[in-house]
Amino acid sequence: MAITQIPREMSVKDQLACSICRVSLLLSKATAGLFDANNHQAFACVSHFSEVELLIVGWADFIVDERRKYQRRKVLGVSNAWLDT
Amino acid sequence: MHGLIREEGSFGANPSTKDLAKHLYTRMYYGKVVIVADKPLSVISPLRKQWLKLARKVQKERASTLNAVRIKELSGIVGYMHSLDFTVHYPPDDYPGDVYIATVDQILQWPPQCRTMYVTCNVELEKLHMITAWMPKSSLVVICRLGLTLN
Repeated sequence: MAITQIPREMSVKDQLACSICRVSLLLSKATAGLFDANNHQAFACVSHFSEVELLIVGWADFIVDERRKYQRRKVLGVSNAWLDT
Repeated sequence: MHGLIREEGSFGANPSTKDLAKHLYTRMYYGKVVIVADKPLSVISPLRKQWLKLARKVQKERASTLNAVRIKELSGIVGYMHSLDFTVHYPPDDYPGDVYIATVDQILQWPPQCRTMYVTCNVELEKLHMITAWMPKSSLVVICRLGLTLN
């Protein structure tokens, strides 16, 4: 058990993916973490709490990626769809 | 608790301050954090200890990588972790801090506008609704009842 309630208005993608390992996951196995470049809540697998090194590096890399996306979009006007490819 | 994200049981059957510190690591950038505890004084010491241990692990990760971008990011994270101020004084408007540890009764007098709240003790549902009433939409409430062993 992990996420047991989310706001109705909150848009959670059908295919929720872990922000650290990119594996698809269910809300019941997810933990809420940082926000992405679009200011949406990002989630990660609950199991990462037992792997502290991965947790540290995973979220640090996530911050770097999302900051890069945000800066590209704001400064250069490049869409996220292009960045994701 | 309308409009809030609720998280329970993420740390298994016997959560500790170590688990709390690891979760806090993922929420430290979003303003003030409030921790509801029966005995704030007995939570703050082990939590700070675990927090500093985690900061040390981040430093170790920084030392072990050759990725320049990651080194820069981890350096910033370590600096930020060391700058976080833990306090048992409440309310936030009167005492400067980042992580507030307080009892339910203290928080009931001044419900916080924080983005993250950890509930580490038994709180009646009505009281839980009241203390989370001023939290912004999509904020996170983590229910993790700490065991007797706090370290």
